Formats: sequence, structure tokens, C-alpha cells
Amino acid sequence: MIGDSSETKGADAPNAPPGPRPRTPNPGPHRWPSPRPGRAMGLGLMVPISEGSAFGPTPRFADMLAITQTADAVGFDAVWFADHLVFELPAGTAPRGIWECWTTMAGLAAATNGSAIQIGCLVACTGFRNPGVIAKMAEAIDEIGQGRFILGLGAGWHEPEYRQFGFPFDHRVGRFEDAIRIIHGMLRDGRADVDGEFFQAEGMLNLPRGPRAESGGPPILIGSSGPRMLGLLARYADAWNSGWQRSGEDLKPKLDALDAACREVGRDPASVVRTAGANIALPGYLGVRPDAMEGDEDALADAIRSFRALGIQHFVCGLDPCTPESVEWFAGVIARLDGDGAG
Amino acid sequence: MSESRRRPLKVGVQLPEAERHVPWAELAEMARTAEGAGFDSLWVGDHLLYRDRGAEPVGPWEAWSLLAALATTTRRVEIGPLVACLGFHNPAMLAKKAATVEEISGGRLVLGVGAGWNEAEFAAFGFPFDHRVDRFAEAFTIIRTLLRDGAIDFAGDYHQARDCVLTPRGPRPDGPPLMIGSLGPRVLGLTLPFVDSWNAWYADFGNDPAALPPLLARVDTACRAAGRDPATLERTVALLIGLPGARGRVSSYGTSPPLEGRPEALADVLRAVARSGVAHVQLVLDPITVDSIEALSPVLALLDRDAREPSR
Repeated sequence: MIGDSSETKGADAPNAPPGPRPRTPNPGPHRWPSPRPGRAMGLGLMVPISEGSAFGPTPRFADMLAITQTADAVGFDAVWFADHLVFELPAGTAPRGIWECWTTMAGLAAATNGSAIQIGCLVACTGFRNPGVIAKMAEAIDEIGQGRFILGLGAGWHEPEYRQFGFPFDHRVGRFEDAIRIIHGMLRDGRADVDGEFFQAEGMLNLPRGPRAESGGPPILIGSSGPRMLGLLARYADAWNSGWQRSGEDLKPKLDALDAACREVGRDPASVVRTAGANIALPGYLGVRPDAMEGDEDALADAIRSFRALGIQHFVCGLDPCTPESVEWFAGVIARLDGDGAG
Repeated sequence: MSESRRRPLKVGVQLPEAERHVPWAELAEMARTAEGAGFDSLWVGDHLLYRDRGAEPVGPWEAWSLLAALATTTRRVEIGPLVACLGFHNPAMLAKKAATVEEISGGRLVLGVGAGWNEAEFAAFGFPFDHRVDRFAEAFTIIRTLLRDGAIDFAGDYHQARDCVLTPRGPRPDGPPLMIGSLGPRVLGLTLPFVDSWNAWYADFGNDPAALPPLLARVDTACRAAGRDPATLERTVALLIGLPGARGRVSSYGTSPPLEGRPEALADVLRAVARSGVAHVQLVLDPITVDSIEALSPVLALLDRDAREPSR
């Protein structure tokens, strides 16, 4: 469950009230970074950031930097970071900690300038921070990395971290709705005025603006398949993330739900960038990332192709183990995928 | 950790906040220039928005993103917020951010904290401005306990941290040093038993070094009242320095005339500040540019010469 994206488990209810439509500009794929030339599907790497992760020992910042630099060297398009505070999994076990996601991403953005690798959160929990500050952090990291940030958002799911850090766990989707309205306004229009039930913004301004101010700042991705969350995604987000899948087959019902949510608000489903992730067992598998795809380079390339065949535009690899050495090993899989051409 | 320099006091630079639009690339160049010129520390304000009367609203880059980026852009200097506004941060989250920047920097963070003062930014971002000191007291307890001990169980009126653990932590076993930026008697009483250092902004003493002794005497008194040996508290103050091309600094916090002069004169000012008991100054430069930072290099050289001529 390390790095689990924040699907809102059990928090959704149908019949969400319609929120205000976004003003300008429209959400869509124009804001999403192009993958490396010749690729129909970009490739991302989940970088270990917590204790008990697929890195083995607790990753220090130098380790996360080395993994990021290796990912860039072997051809990944993006590195992704989980936004959690602590894990008590399974329930009742000793807590496992984690580095703070946003400062880690900011440090790595500064340390990788000159590279094209994208840096994103998969996904940031809106329950942990003031939405205006989330927007300001996104703008700052986009500035530091010179336009390489992807803002992944979710409503969170792991109750013990809310308890430990003193955040309310109730009304997670309602809070998310207030938050996404504020964040969307701050990034796309540079300001927010939202009198929400849970969050208020009054003359809130996003100043200064980063390198992508004119196109509305960094792309927004939402990681959830809950019905109310998909409704908000259809209104506000450029991209969707599936969470962790066992196979492409598991994705189909979620893709149908995404398409339906788009049609309900008059959004062209094709305008949502689809991203998905799967855990992948490599030689020396630690068993930290469950339900992992297995096999040699050819078998793994085949498994990943099944996601591309479903129209997934960015595929996130949850490698286990995830070390500079295992990322080097995975270069063989990337070479096979790139050998397919743009197909 | 800053290497040991035998100058009479540590000298840091406050990086620009919202004086003008400064892109990250220029901030990074300022940071590298300051480190190369021999400064001891770099500081950033922790604010969200300024909406001063009669002026267009302006904002700074988010402080903790900058601190993390500065941590990988520099190798030697201390870095810190001057000061982190606890009204803008969930306290356990701020401890986690501090632990992470401490890790990224290899143990170079100084965590300055304060209660905030600029009501306009609280209002715009939806943060409560009432009971600031009561909220600060709870937040400070959570932050210092997590950074020092790694765990707390706390249920307050404003903040909760139930069976909360802070892990992993950075390279220093006791976490980063804590600095309080306040003159308020209640805040000093709450923090002086625990902090490593104290800070005053230049407007707090009219940017006048001659006004420092009575101010520092007040801090001594507050220490004794709080049961803290005043000799164990490091004192730091910000100083406003005017350089060629100064634009004048206007702030709703307060305005003071800058200190100006040739390197010898500025070095004399800093020597006098050191003699009054200040161990670390944060220079606020007007204008704040790469050239301004370089222009102060001779002042640092003069101060370093003191160490070789201790009889002066």
C-alpha cells in the first residue's frame, strides 16, 4: 500500500450537487506534458519516500535524488511521490513514517533543473492542507522546476494519519469540492473567491505567478474513481489516475465510469488524460508492493502494453524493489516498449 | 551546519520576498553568490499575500518550497524561515516539513517561528486571526515536542495530535534549532524555556543599533521570568542596509531608515551590534540583488580580519 493513490474509499455518495463551472481556460490535454518523442504512452516512476518502502531501508534524500536521476537517465518521463504523513497498516501495527511530500518535490525540482523529467504528486491529499497554500506550493514548485510540475490531488483515505496530525476525516469529498474550486481558481485565474462549507477564500490571490501563468499553471490530475470525485474531475481536472491496477482488464469499469461522468457535465471524455499505475515485481522482489505484475523484460513489456491498448496515456510503474540498480534493470523493459514505435 | 568562522557574529541575508518579481533562477543565483561571498545563512519570509494600503497586492513564493530548493542549491549556509507563521500551518505538518528540509539540507535548518501579524493574508486564505497567542502556544508545544522527541499525544482547544509520531527525522538527533521571532511577553514566556535563539525584525528597534541594549535587556528580563539563563540564549536581529539604487522599503509592519555607508563603516556597525550581545544578524538589503549581495563581501572580509587581530 506504499504510495497508494488516494482513492476515496467509501466516502462517495451519488447525487452530488452541481458545482460552478470552471471559468477560463478549459481543462484538457493541452496542459499535459508530451512524453518522449515516439511514445504514445508516457512512463512514470513511483519514487520511494517512506519507511518500509520498496527501497528497503528508509530512503534518505540522497537516495531519492539518485533514483530520480537514474529514472531520468533510463528514459522515464516523470517521477511521482506519495503524499502521506504516516502509515498504520495493517491497523494496530507500529506506525511507519514518511518524508513530507512537497518539500521533497521542491528540493528535487531544484536539483534536476536542466532535465525534462516531470515531478508530480500521486496524489496530494487535500485534507492535509489549506487549499490556497496547496495552490501556492504548486505554483512555487512549477517555478523552481521551470514548468515541470504535475499537481495530483485526492481526498485521502487513511484515517490514522488524519487522527495523528489532527485533521478532520469527515466529509472528505465535500471538503475536496471546496478545495478543488479554490485550487482551480488560483491556478487557472490567479485568484479565488469561494465561500465553501469547509474552506473559504476571499480575494485570495496567487502571487507571484510561475512559468505557465498564461496557460493557467501546472496540470491538475485527480486520483479517484468515486462518482462524486469523478464529477468534480470532469469539471476541473486535466487528467485522471486509476490508482494501482492488477492488469489492464481491471481498468475497464473505471474507464467507463470516467467517460460517463464526463458526458454528464458535457465534457468530451477524450479531453481527459488517462493515467494508470501498476506494481511490478523485479528481481529481488521485497513484497512491499502487492498484486505486482511479474516476469522477464518481455513479459513485463507485454503487460504494460495492455494498458497502452486501453488508451492509457501515462503509465506509472510501482517498482519493487525500487533502487537506482532496479531502475537501471527496468531500462530493458523501456527499450522494448520504445521499440514498438508509436503504436 | 555552517563552518566555524571566527568573525564577531554570524551574518546572513534575507532573500527577496515581494519587493519585486524575482524568478527562482535569480533567487538561486543570489543563494550561490551569498554562499560564495562567505555569508553564514539565508532567510526567507513566510507570508502568503501583502495587501498594503495604497499599493497593488503582491505575494511571495511559498516559503517551504523555497527552503527545500535552497537546501539543494547550497552546501554550507544555514537556511531558515524568518519566521514561519504558525497561523498558516498545521503544527504537526510544519514539524514534518521542518524535518524534511533538515534532511534535504543535511542539518542546516534553523526553524524560526512566530504567531503572524498581517491580518489581510489570514483573511484571504481563510485562516483564523483570533486567539493567535493561544493557538500559537498549542502549535509550538506540538512542533517542539515532535522535533525534539519524535512523538506527542496532544489534545488542545485548537490543535490535536493524538499518538502522533514524527518519523523519519533528519541528521541531527535533537532536530533543527528553534528560534522565536517575537517581543510579546506571553509568546516569550511560552517559548524562551525551549528555543535556541531569539530574533527581532529591524523595525522592532527602528533599525537603530543604539536601541538594541534596552531591547536585549527586555529579553534578559523575559528569560529570567521564564526560568531561562539569559546567557544561554542566542540573540539575532535583522538589520536593513541601504545600498546604491535603494528603492526604499515600505511595509505595513513598520518602516525605518536604512543603515548605509562604506564597508568599513558597515563593519563598524556590525562590530557594535556584536558587542551588544547579538550573535547573528540577518541583513535585509535594499535593493536586494545579486550585486548587492556581492557588494557586502568586503564587509565580511573586514569582520574576518578581526579574528586575526584579536587585540583590536
